[in-house]
Amino acid sequence: MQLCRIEGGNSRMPNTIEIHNLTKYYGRSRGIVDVSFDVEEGEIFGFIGPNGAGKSTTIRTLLALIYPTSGSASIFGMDCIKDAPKIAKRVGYLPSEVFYYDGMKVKDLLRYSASFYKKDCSKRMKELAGRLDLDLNRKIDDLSFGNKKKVGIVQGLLHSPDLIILDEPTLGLDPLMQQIFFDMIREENERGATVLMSSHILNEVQRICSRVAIIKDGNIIKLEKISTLQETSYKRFKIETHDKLPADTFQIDGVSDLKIEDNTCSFIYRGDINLIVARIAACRIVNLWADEPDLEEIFLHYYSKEV
Amino acid sequence: MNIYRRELKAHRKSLLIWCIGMFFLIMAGMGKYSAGAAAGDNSMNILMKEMPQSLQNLFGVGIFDLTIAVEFFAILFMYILFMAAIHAAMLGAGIISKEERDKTAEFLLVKPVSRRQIMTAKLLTALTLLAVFFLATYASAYGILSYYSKGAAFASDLMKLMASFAAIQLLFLSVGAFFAGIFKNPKRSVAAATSVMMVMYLLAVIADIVEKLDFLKYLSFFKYYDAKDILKRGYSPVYPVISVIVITALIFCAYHFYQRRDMKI
Amino acid sequence: MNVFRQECKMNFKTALLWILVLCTLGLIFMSFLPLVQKDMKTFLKLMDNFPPALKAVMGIVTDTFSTPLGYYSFAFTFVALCGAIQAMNLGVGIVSKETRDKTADFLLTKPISRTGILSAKISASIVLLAMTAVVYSVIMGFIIRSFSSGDLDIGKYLLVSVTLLFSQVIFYSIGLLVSVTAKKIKAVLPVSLAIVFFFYALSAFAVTSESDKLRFLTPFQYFKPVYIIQNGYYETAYLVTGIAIVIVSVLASYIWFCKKDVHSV
Repeated sequence: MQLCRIEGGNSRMPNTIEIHNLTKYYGRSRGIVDVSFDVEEGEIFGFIGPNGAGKSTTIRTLLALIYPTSGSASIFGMDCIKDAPKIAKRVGYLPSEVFYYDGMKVKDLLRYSASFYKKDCSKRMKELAGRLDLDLNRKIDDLSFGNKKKVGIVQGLLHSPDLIILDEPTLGLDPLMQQIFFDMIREENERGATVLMSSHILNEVQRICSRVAIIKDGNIIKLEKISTLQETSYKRFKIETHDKLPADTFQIDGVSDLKIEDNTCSFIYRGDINLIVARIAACRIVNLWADEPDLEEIFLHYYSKEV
Repeated sequence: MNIYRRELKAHRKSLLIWCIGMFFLIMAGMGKYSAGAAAGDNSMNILMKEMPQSLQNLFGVGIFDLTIAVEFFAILFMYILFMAAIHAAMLGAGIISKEERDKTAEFLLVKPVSRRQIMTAKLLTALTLLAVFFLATYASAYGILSYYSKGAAFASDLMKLMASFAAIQLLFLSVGAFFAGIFKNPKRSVAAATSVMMVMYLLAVIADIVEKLDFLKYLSFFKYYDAKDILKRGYSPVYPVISVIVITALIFCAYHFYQRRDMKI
Repeated sequence: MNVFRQECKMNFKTALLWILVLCTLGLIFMSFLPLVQKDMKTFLKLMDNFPPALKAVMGIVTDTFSTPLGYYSFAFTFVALCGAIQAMNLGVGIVSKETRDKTADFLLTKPISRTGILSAKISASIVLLAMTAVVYSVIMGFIIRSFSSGDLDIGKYLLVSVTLLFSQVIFYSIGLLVSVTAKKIKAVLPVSLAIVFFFYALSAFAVTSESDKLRFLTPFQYFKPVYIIQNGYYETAYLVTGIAIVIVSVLASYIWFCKKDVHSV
């Protein structure tokens, strides 16, 4: 029952989301094929991939908006399709694009949304709207795209859900609001909520998620902890030397993308750090830069066609 | 122009449905003719003539000889005009406001094309569609009438009726375009155009039945082109003149307001 | 239930507008009654001598036509037509609007089952249609009574007026089925007008044909006011057909709505 369990993962934590061989075909075109992964309770899980890879399809199936061709998924131990309304009580969904009914004011929409959860959310509503600087009395039609997004955020969080599903959450928010938003998500997570986040903004995934699944062409191609990705990845070195270096100084195993320009030499190194440091120490260095790998480059590597 | 071509393509299916619908309407209507009056049975006419004027107008009979196919058709024509008016009004309002309805306004209106050009392209499309509808109606009517008339002349009467058909089309097209030019909300412009059309139809019926309220005929486009007047009672050229003035004014306003107002994005 | 309340709120203003339209229509027709009654006596004497087939075409039943209630049956056909448009609009619009306004992602991810959502929408619609029928019938009742110098067979009048609700429910359920099965309906009015006029045209066909079979095809012919006034009850065969249509459409709508994929915008 437990596919894709990560070594080192806390096997005592129950899974909030379990997806088994989920497949969806739209007629003959593929949506997703044999997608399987689990999201543990209390973690912030990133879900990334190129356009058209199947992120929305997976999420929409979890929410019972569309029905799978085969496979299954469960949330809180209940079947996603059969028990959808029950599950929905504890889920907050923030869609990438928000549309609401004609002529509604923000507070009307939020009250209507709250009425589905049989909880009193008025305090929470005001608190969230205040933090995001959202005017409750305006008509939704009159709001800018970013402000409409804020309505979506408040609507998704006001019932204090146990699972938060985010689809491109910061699209349209200004940088300050993005900060506030991530603080909010972290607070929810500390309170015990599990978060599944789909995004194209890779540095935000890197910042906030503990694990990430990369989907491409309908298949999961990588499922890893962020820390592991960073560890097993390369380091980027740039060295400025006093004298021009012979071309083969850094021609050792593990070095790639070697560029030499006058007295400056840059490369990517993967392997035992001690070996490369020894090489560097043997030169007369003027300056040295060693960079942490940028997950964006790692991800883009997976996104590109050749993988 | 590219807008023109694209709009035409987008309206193909709906135009086809309307033309087929019109053909069936004429066929169904004239089917009634063969069932009843065609048999040369003049009793129908005698009966009709005996009816009080108000009832004659209510049922749209009395003035016409129901045994003649084209005159029977003239009674059916009220309903045909009604369909033409609905089609033209919804088309006029719809084609202008659909950019805002379909949220393609942001795409189209930032292209190097002026609002005026857009309006012109759309109106030309509408005119083309109306022309096709006109021809389809004309052809259906001609074919069905020649079948039922069995040699009797009907062409000139039909021509006069079809001229009024075209006039109604143009009048209601401009009403639709006018509302779409004024209102930001696309749903509102279609609703307004259709309501105006319905009210005018009702006014025409009332003006027919109640002699005292005959003045209402100036308020309804349908009375400008009353089949009874056109074929039998003599036709005043004042109506086409008023029509031209109304159409020009409405189209001018449509352009003017569309140019000036905010787009609903 | 909150969805029920919200749907009622959102469609209330439109419903009020329709009540106004229906009452105005009814009032206008009834206002012709004195006029018609004046000329009627002479006319009816003539009618008595004519073949029943002819009378059927005219839709007149001699005994009752001059009575307020009998005349009202004639007016009622037009009211029923408008009522059908209202019901069809509601049916076609109420589910498709979630797709059209792109609010599907909001509503369908809430802790409410799809059957729950559909039930709320249907209940709200029925409430609004019932409200329309009741208010209209009460107002019209007073109007007709004033024309009949205080003497009105309430029982028969109610029987006729309730058929407004019946036919509205039938049209509503057909519209609902269309709304649920269609992928995306960009504009509700053209679709609903098209469907209603299709049935109305069928109704015209049905009246002239000899066999009663065609009557089954169009809800407009299920409840003939003339028959109801004469006999004091409904024609069972058609009542059953109407109920069957409603049950089948609603059930099919539920099944379809629960099974369909809701795609992103």
